Amino acid sequence: MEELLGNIYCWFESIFGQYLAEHLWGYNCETLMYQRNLFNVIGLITIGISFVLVLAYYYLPLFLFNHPRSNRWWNWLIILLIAGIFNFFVAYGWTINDFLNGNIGDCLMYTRDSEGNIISQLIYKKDCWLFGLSNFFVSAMFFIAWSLIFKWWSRNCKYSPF
Amino acid sequence: MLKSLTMLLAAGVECGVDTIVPIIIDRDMSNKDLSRTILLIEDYIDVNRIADTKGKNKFFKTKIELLNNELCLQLKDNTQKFSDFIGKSTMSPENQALVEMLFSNETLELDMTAGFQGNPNIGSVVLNQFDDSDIFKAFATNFSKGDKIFIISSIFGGTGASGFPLLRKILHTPNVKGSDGQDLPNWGLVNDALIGAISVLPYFMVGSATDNSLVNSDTFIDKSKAALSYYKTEDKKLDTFYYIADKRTTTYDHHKGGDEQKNDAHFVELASALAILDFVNPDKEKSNIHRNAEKKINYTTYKEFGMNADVAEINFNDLVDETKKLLINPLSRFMLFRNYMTMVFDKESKYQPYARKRFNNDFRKNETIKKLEAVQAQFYNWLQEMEKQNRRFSPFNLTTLSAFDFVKGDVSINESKDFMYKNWAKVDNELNSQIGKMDKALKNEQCFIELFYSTTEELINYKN
Repeated sequence: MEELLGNIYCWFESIFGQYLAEHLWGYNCETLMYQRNLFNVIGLITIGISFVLVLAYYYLPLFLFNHPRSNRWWNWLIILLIAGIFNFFVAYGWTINDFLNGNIGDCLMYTRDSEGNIISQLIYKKDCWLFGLSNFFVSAMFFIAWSLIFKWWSRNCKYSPF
Repeated sequence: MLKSLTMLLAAGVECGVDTIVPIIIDRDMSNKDLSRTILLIEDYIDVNRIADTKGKNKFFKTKIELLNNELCLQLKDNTQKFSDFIGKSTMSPENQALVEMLFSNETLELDMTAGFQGNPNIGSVVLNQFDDSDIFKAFATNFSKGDKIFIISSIFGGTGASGFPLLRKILHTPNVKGSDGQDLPNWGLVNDALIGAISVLPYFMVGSATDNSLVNSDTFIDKSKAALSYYKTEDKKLDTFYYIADKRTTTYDHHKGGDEQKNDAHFVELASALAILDFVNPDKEKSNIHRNAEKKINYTTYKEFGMNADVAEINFNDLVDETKKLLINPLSRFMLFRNYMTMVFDKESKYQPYARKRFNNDFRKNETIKKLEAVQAQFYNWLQEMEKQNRRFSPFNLTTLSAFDFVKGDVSINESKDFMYKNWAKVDNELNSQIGKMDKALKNEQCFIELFYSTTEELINYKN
């Protein structure tokens, strides 16, 4: 169960890279052990935001949400995109913050020679963007799942998007 | 006036009885107004058959039943000329001279197929045959204890002015026999039934005749006076006698009858229909009915229609509270229903949950729904026609595209404070809410009518 979210994210590992994945699994270069699983933290935030926006779309009486004029499939898609973009920046922001503040273990960031000189860089800024993109897809998946579960009691949107 | 009554019943105006049985007596069967009314009533009956009349729904709630499936009482004799009807050519010379003294040449040569053209003296002779008709027999056969009779007539025409007192007399004649010589069944109940009538005095004029028509609106007032002096004899023969007239008249094109006689609807006709509703209302019995223990009429109640002010354009605020309360919610709700069907339904039914799997695709091709929309179209035309009169009844803005601001005057019909939904979205929101409360066993068409009634009832609720 603890690794479920991580496993889901790892479906997209080829996009954002295995070294960033290791960092997100919580690998500590000094202790050589896994500690804080960041996939769970980011994953729960992603699930939460998708959940809130799904509930808002189907039940909150506010224009764009639970409204007879926003029950078209493209209205639902817009909310999915909003959730996805928000979660994109959550994931990007978290990883870029770790990247810039040196919170990513050195063994995951660089390959060094025996004298400690950097031979190659393993994680780049673009990987943070790509992790954000992966989180966008994960967000979309959860948004669709929450929609299928919770839309049935909605007054105005129960048949959106289908 | 029957058209106005049908419109009010379609809109769900409180009736007080569950069935109305209309019978029209008119010699002019090709009259366009008559044809329009027949079509309207047939459509109403078809929709009423489907509409749920036992539950909450009030649209088309009151049943309209036709005796022998006919609306019109056919007069068996269909001779064209009056002189042929009375058999003048077979009379002795003395009788012929007497007839020529009593009736003018134009009257004797009158072609009666287009009615009596404002000659009640002819009508009173010709109409003496209608107790022979099959509908009259059916009327007697189907008459039950507790049924009421209401006679509607105009005083300034031919058929109505002559037919009304004749009809009333026959209804109070004991032991009337049919054409087969047998007593008509239930005739005792007919004799004792509560009976009311409305006499419509002049409320329009006609232009100059372009053919050989004998109709002349200059004589309307004189004919009314003559008939009124005769109607004094109806005192204590009727429980309630209603009168209505209008001095602010419109002049119609002159057509003596037939296919060209098609007058626009008038507020006087709507108000006349209210007389029927007043008479059949059980809550009004104390004021309308005054009989002794032997069921004889002690005295006749006389009523006239009044408004708050003598205005050229009438809206709901010009009506007295009692009339306003009776009309405003039903007419406004039905108007909203009609407007939604015309302006919004096609576009939104694809998306709204209330319509899903029930009211989309070919739903509008359903025969009952087509009839419902036909009645709605006629309702709209009826309102348009009343707006064209010199005394306009114009409670609604008929050209607005908005959902709620169609009621004219300072009248607030929608108290909902729900600011999240505006205009037609508010209606859709309520439809989506109400569909969940509908009985799932109802057929689609039945559910549709009840759904719109419940929705419009939530959205439009005028409280004085």
